[in-house]
Amino acid sequence: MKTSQFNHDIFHNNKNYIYNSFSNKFIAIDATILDLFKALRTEEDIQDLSGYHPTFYQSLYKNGFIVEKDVDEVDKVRTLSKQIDSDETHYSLIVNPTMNCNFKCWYCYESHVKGSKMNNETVTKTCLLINNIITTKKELKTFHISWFGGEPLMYYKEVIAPIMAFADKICKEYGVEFDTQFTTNGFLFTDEMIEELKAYTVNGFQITLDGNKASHDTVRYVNAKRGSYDVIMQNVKKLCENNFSVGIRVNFTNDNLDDFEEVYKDLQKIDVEKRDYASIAFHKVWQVVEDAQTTERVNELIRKVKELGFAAHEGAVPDNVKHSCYADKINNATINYNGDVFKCTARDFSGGSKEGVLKDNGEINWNDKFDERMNIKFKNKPCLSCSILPLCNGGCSQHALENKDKDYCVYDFDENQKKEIVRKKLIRIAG
Amino acid sequence: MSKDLNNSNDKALEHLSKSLQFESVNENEAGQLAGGFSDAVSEEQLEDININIFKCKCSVKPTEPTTSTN
Repeated sequence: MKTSQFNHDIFHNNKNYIYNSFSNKFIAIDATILDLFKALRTEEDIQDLSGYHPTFYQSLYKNGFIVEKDVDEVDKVRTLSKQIDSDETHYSLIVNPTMNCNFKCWYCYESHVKGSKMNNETVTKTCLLINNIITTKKELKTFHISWFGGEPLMYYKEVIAPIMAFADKICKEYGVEFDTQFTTNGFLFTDEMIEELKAYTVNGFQITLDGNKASHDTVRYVNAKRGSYDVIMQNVKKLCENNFSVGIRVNFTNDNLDDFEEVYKDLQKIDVEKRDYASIAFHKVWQVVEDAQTTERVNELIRKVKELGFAAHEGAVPDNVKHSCYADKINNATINYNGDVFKCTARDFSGGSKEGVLKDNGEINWNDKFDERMNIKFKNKPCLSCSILPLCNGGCSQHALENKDKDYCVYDFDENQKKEIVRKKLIRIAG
Repeated sequence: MSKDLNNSNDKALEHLSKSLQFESVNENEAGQLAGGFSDAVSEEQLEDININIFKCKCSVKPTEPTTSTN
């Protein structure tokens, strides 16, 4: 026997915990027992433990804190990762009806392409692609479309409605479960649209708030005289009242956190019995460096909004193997309005970055970038000896591609940052 | 997240919290230790863990900032 390379110990809220990042299990532990755990260095130590504290030994073994001596733990992560990323039972399609947007947010990494709109020909090709996927992938059980962009609702009728109707019909015909999701700024909803969407399994709308009315309207505005906060809040309320789940993404900086107390007042306009349909996820704007004070303030805000009856969590706790990014998966494609095909949606959609093209017959002609992406994981040496490999794995395939041929760590080789990841996971379950 | 999912998550959280409690460490008649640790729990027991499907879910900063044409 040997101890796992993925073990951690953490002190939180006056309690000791041990954690294994592969089994993803926490055990709360007495300080004396923690000392015993930390003293396990040799095979003999572990053997001794089985004699003087057999139930603890059994728990450690069962939950992956100690493993057989000849177990290759990295290989276990590799096998799991491959299994998840090559899952044939699910297909996730992301469609950008446009790369244009009615807002102009300072932090947005997307290039707004004025006048861009998926034309009828590309709508048809996208339907053919869906047809190919549903009719040829025999193991498929679920099919998902995410609407994205740009602001997807700019072209609801012309692009979203026909593709969604087609996908729903063919999925029903072949016994595949179809669901859909929207990443939208939440400004363009109409009552008619909401009624129509009730015909589908819509499992969420992601809508972003950038602070209270004043802050939000300085970032997300239609024009100099017209902000968007009031309309968006009204739409969030309306969606919840119509039993649609809304994920409110809160983009925070070190300066706008106090604003959210005011946002909470506005959120309380949603009927108590409908608040469960809204969840709030706090995301740090990536250009901002988060400090300990900010982390504590975010946790406080999460506690407060939960007390009001909403679900809330910090949005960016990595779990990159078991819940890898869609871009890492073989059964994923992002169709841009012009028929270019991408994997990652967190970069721009310039032609030079495309990984394939949607052909007239609805097949995707992938290029070399696709193969490179699908084989890029587990090549970064520092990751292979890291205690959070099963959580991080060097980020996603995009990150690995951008750091190709060099040793890198997404947490700058800082063990404290890694410990914070574990702490954030613990906070989710232990408060 | 649906309303039902939220309710079941509340129950799951309550259950997880109880599972993290443990009896004090003690010694039995055979001289073996017992107690001093809780059940093993995982956030996966919460049901709101989704596939990373939403835009901008990246947990790391972009390495090559892009420029907007607008």
